[in-house]
Amino acid sequence: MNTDSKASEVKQEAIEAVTEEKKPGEKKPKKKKLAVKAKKKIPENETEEERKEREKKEEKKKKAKPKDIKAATKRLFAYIAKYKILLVIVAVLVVFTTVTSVIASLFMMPVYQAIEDALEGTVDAPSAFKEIVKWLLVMAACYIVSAACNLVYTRIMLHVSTHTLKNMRRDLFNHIQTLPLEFFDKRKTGEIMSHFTNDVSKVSDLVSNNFPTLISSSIQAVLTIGIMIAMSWKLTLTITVAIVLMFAVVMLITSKCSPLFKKQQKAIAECNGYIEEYIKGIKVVKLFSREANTKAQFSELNENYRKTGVKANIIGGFMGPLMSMITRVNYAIVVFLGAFLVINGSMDVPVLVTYLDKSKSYASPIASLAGCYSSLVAALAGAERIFEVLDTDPETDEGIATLVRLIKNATGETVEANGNEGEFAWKIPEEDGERYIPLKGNIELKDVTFSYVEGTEVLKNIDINAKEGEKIAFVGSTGAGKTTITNLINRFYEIDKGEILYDGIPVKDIKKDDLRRSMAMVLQDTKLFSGTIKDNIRYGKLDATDEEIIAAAKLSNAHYFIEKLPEGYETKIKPDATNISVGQAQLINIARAAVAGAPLLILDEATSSVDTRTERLIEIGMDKLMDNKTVFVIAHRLSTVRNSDNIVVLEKGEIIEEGNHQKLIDDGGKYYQLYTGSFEME
Amino acid sequence: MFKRFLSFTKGYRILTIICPFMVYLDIIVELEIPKAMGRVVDLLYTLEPGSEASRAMLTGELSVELIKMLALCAVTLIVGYVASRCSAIASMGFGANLRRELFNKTQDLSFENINKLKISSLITRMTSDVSQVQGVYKNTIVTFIKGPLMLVSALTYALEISRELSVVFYVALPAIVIILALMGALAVPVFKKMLKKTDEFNGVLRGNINGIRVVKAFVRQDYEKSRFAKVNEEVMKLNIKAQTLVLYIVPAIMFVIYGCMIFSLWRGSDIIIGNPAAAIEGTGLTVGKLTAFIAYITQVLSSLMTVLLVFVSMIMAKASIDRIGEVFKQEPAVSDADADSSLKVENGEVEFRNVFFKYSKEAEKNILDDISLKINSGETLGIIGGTGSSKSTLIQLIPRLYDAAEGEVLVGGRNVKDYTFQNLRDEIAVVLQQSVLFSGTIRDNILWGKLDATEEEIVSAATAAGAHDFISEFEKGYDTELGQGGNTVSGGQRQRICIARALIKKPKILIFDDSTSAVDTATDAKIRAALRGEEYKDITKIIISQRITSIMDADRIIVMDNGRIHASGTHDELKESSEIYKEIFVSQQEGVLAQ
Repeated sequence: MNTDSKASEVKQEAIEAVTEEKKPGEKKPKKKKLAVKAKKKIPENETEEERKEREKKEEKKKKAKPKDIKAATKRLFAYIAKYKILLVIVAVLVVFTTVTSVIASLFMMPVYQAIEDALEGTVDAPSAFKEIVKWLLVMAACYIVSAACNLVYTRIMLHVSTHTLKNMRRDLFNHIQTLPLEFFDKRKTGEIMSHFTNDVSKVSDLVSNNFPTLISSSIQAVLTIGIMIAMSWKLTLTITVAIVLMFAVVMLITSKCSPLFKKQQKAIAECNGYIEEYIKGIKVVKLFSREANTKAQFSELNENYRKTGVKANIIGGFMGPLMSMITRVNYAIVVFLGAFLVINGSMDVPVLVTYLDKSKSYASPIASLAGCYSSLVAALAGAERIFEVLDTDPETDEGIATLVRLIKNATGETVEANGNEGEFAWKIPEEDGERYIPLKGNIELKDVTFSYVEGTEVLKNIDINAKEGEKIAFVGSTGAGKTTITNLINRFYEIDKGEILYDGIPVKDIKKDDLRRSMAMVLQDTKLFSGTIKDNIRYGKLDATDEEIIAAAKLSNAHYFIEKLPEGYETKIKPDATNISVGQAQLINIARAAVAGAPLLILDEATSSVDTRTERLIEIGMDKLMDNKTVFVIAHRLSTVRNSDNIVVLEKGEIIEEGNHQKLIDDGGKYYQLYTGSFEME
Repeated sequence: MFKRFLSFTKGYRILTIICPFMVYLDIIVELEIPKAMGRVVDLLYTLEPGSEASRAMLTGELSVELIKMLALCAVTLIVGYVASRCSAIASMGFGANLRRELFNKTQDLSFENINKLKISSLITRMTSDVSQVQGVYKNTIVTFIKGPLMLVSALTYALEISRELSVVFYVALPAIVIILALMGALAVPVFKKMLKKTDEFNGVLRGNINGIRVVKAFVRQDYEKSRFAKVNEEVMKLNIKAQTLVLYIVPAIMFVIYGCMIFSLWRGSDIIIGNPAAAIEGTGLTVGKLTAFIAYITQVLSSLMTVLLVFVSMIMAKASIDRIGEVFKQEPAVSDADADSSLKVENGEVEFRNVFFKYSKEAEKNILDDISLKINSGETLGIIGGTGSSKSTLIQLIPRLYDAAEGEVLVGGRNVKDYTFQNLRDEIAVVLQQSVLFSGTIRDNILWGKLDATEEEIVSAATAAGAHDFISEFEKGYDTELGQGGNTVSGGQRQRICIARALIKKPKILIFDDSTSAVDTATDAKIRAALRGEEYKDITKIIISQRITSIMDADRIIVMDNGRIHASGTHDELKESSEIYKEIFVSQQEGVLAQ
């Protein structure tokens, strides 16, 4: 759903972009107004969730428009500073475009003057015509220069804006790869995505549209109004009144409209929310024969949306006619006053005619300047949100120990291997060379305490000693802290107190990437990436051969279902892996971990959606894989953990029981209760 | 298709027609203004500045012109208001009709249709696609009529002023059509490509964010960076390519408009100077008329552009229209049109006779392969089998969520197709694998099973489902609000509310599709015990489970494997006779023994 609506949003934008671009210059003030109005409209096609998100964002925006305009602008500038020279060229070309087109229109005056002279007989016809042609040629030259400059600068701006967009996205992406998981925990996916889409494109809009518009509109406005004042300051005065009135009208209607549009927005969100909920639950609707009720309820919401929408749109739609009335009344008055001035002899007719032409075009640059301001504010707010992400501190990593593989060379010396062979070892740089510690897979947690949020301890004084080749299982209800322990071992999170040792080395002293490379994880969340099944398994080891992949898939029992798919290993995983079952996704996940060939294995609810029979088969396969490997297992199903060397029972962040299956059953404690099913484990 | 969309204008047709008329009136005024200006200018030319006659004119003819213009302005205001009102009401109404009909249509579709269309895509069609079409409808009734009208009127006025000058349009109009058509033809495919790439871009990004734990666990940041850099670069390149084509439009149109202006000024002044007498008398071309003509050039050309752009937006909306149309075109694959509405389900007997099933006609493999099975009224049947053994599919044929491809499914001794959906489903309660709850209170959700249930019935059903205790612990009890999808309660609690919802129906047939998977074994046993009680004992029960304990006390158990019934019998029989059953049992045995 999300993808689709995003896509259509983008499509919409693209369409708007096309239509916007196709307007001939800034000739028609009326169109501009429509565009302004369109911007006021809130996207209609959003779901409940998106709405909430947006409202939250709007809240934020309200509270904190750009907090520090200066700082944001400065950093933003750093991005476009790369294109300094190009921007200077653009600025010059914009000035050229605007000035030439304004000047060109001024040449109408001498043309009309020449006609008048010819008619009055002060100049003979041929020389008058010659004069006219001369001015027309100058005019044409001006227009050609103007159009050519326009083409060149828009092309340059396209280059600058798209590259800025790309660069910002790249920096954002690269930066978030380094961020700690807390960053992702605190935010919804949509929220992070919107930095890449909405925020970044607002900034790029600012660069591509506003920069030239700002220059051209200011010049146009100043030139036009200047010329008008020069022609007749008295007439210009009336226009000032019109401008003020126009702004007043816009403000008034906007303030009237925005609560109505908000209401409309809420109504459509309710409508769409209902659609989403009841289409997803359509099986239940049908099974309970509730179609008629559902239709009636929807009809009510739909009607409510229609009513609020009509209200909002009637008032919103009134803006256009009001604005054009103001311009027209203003125009009529200017014509009349102009005539009055002509009659009084204080103005010539050709001047009046040119003036009238100008008076039609003064409004559009002013309107676009106003538009510039609002998108500048929006862009800076967007830029600030981006910089906020870029300013988030990356994961800390003071580790020094690295993971290497050692082999004996021809002379029997132990040396570091480059390939995938040899024994794993930790390499610790020391003052006098380096020290190697063979990787055994001993993990020791000493008095570990941890909290995600300060004050609420999720794990309390945990002591665990996992020896080389042992299988350790964690059991307990949801929230007991099982997954958290594994997240501490691979340093997804940093412990508050205590110590975790890996083969005697504090994990803090191991480089994070190397630490994680030493363990293969099958996570609770069966996340697969877009791409083929093969790509997904290969994720565990980028240079794995097809044979290795198939071997890993066989080990995890995934091979048998993959083979049956029409495209086998080349089957594309659809977004959210909708074309395979959760159980199958888990099998692929296990294969991915298996191909990684890491010396330590962490299985977090790896087989929860696989039936017990298949699980049994996987276990047999895994036993081969896990030979001499330390394995951490988290499982809901106790049959999965039964034959572990050590079963750790957690409750509320504390270890309450520990031992092997038989011992725990004999003890008759919590594990026994769980096992006999007299206690709900959720 | 067009006819169908036309039907959604019902109730708003008059407004839909009025709207363009109002817009037309507005255009007439708009066109009058340059004319009036031309007249004023010409009047001024005939005058000696400062003379008595001119002063008289100021109060006479000129004031008349002014009043006329102001009156026209007032008219445009009213007309504009009526137009915006009409378009708002008509387009919102059209959208509402469309949305409602589409929603109703989906309610009547069968799952075969829904699976084909995909739930997520169905939602998009009902939300963004409908909005898109509604937007185009609004645009069309305002602009599409306005554009051609304005074009024709402005052209007429221009011709009226000067036929000689109007030749400029012979070149300009085709030129604009060609420019836009050319750009459109070149740009649209590139834009489409770009949008597709953008989807891919979003996919990579979303995948990375959602899978950040995997990325970090496998230390694949660099790989992800290069993957992202690639798609980022591609999006940018396509963006540049698409936008570059569009860039040419503005200068090209500028070129045409300014060309027309200069040509008219050149020809116009030639004509005026060539025949000064006619100009002074006002019979021929005058300076005033020339200025008006130039004003019309912009109007003619811009209205042509409006027309063309509406065309473009309609073409772009066509995708949405097609997607919506596709939904309307669906014929429900499962229909109860031929059913006898007086026929009620007599008892809870269920029988499958040589049933075959596959999800689509094209599929090669049968999901259900020759199933024959009879379940007596009041019997409890357990179904067990591996992932993908088609257990869920089997039971979905009973309430006719799908129809068998071959063979017969009978309920109460009659073919399920003989009953209306309502009559059939009223007697069958299914608790689905996925516990779907709707926003509203717990009570609202349980009441789904029986709208007029009393408080006692609700409590009794909830108690039997093992839900009463935890519901009572909530501060607001049965009035606790469940968020969208029931997110405020845990998985096991959700399942039990779903069970209560089914039990309150007091159906003749009760089907549990792995519906206690998140419930602990003890509660599971309690629920089963309650089902054996007086109140529910006559109901035919079909229980699918992964857990042996959930089905071991059933009257009969069938083991499904690969769409076939692999074995059937009681727990004790199967333990001996079925390899698969034995294997599952062994893997879960110790837990059973401990119990």
